[in-house]
Amino acid sequence: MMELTLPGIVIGFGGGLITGGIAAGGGLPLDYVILATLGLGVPLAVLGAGYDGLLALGWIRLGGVAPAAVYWLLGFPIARLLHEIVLDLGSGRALALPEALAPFLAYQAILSLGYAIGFLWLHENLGGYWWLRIRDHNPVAARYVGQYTNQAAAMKHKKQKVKEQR
Amino acid sequence: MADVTVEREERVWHAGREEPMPIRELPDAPASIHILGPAMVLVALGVGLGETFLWPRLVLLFGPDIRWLFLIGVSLQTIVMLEMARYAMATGESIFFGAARIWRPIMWFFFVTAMLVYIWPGHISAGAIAFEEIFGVPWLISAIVGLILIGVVFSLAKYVYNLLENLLTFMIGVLVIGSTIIAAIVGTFGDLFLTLTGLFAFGYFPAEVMTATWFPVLVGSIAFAGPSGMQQMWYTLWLRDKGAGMGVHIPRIRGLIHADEEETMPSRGFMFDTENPAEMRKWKGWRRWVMVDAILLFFGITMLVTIVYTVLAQAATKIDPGVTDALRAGEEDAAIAGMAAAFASAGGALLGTMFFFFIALVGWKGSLGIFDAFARGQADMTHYFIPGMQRFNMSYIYFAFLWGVIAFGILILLFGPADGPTAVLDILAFLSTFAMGTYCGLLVLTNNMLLPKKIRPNIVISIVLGAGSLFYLGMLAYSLVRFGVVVG
Repeated sequence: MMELTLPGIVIGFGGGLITGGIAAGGGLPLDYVILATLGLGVPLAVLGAGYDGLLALGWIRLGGVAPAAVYWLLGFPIARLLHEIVLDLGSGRALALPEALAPFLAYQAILSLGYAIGFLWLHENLGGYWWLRIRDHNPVAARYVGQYTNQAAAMKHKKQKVKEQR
Repeated sequence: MADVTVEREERVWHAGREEPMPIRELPDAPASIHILGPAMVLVALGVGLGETFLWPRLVLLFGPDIRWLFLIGVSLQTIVMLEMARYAMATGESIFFGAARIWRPIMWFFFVTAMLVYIWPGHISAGAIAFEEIFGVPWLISAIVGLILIGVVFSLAKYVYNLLENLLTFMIGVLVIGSTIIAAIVGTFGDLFLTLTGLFAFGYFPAEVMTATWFPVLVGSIAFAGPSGMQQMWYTLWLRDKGAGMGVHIPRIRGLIHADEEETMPSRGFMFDTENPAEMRKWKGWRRWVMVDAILLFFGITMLVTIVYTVLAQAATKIDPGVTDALRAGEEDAAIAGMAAAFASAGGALLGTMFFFFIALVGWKGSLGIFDAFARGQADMTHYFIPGMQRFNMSYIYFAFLWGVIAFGILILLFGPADGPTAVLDILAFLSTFAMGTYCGLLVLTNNMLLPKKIRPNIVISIVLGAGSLFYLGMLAYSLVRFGVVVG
């Protein structure tokens, strides 16, 4: 199960690296850069792993847009809230969000759709390569690959059939 | 104009003036687990300067309420996309072939328009300039290397479409995640709320818009909301290569080194038996598949990206009011640099760099998609309609156009004006918007005259398409007659 969570973890932590990179480029101190990276990267990575866990359990559909959108509607605002808390507390500042809690969460929730779609696209892309590598010893990965290859095989079969018809 | 007959014991569908289409079996629609359809390629191509620059600029100059026009533009484009898909999935033919079935000169108009509008390498220069800002590599060098790289990656691929889809999916994934995170950090709910409510401020039209300076800009921005120019027409070619609907009966374009493996290209498309209930069930499955593609991916992502960039632009002007002046002046490079500088002062140099990075990505992926699409469209029309060309493999014709446009692009970057000669810029802008008005009208004709009754669009869709045609052509004509300017 653990290895199945790798795509979600990589994509989630990648989001943290973008944030940390921004802080580093801004010439902020190293401890702040680490806080910015881990503050967003760890929650997004944990949530990414959670997504893969639900996928493995069959609670959400492989490649489904709606389940991913709902998952990140809850997950993304939580990750951003933790990010702000870690940054403030880690820097020894009093906790102060950019705006009041309700509008802050609402804003992050609306933007979560963007994160969900980007996540899903990359997940389909990266996941495909990873599942192929581990499918020999991982039955869940083999199931995912099977779902895609069955469809690809069906398309190929159709192509073959129509070629004969031409 | 269209009916079913039996010819030499083969059932065919007569559609328009060209060869009749043999009746073949419609394949099953894919299961919904594959979220990635050709709409993703269209989104990747369509999400560009309109969403990241033109509309954020209009919002800063005229307020968020101006965005209702964006909503109209993108909604119309969503309907156009669904109707393009209707023709392509029902016949396996491109919309260019459909145009020829109505009247060949209409198709030749699009052939000539593409040659005039899309051979200029201007679209790669914005991305290359942003690249220079990040890495210091002179833009001319990165632009030329970028052009050659496009030709090489397509030439080496087994199937060109698969590579295009994978590359663009990755780029758009990174772009969407990165932009969302930056907007989540620098924007506020207030910015977003104004941006969203502005979408529904129907009828808002500030007096300043009705001037020779701004009306043409507005027309151009509406035309650039979502896919512009001929991009929607090329979508029919990607659908075919994806094997959507009757496209499964047409061989795919292969990479140059695999081109000799291409199967024989049929001389026309195919039709399925619309009197067979089982076939109609499959057709409904295909319509559902493309509907998800259109509404969720195309409409959703286009709206999302432009909302994110509008919020970013609003945040930038709060940080540095000078950005508004650069935007007002219409200096694209200056405004992009201004927005990057504003982010840099708020979040550090790398935030500005990230912005440049995304603009560079938008520029390169745009060029990648446009060059593929241009070569695809021209190859399709050349193969089917220039006498004697059918003996050449479609993939070879595709690569002749692809490398031709790359070589021309390099020559122009080195010795000429990247966007095209100044004297013809207005003509090119006119043709691009005129093509959009024309294809709306063309779709009304192809989908009502060439398709069997059971799969034709309903009257409301036809009226919307007709209104769309009037909308584009009317705005173009008004701008020309009233202000003497084409589009900005």
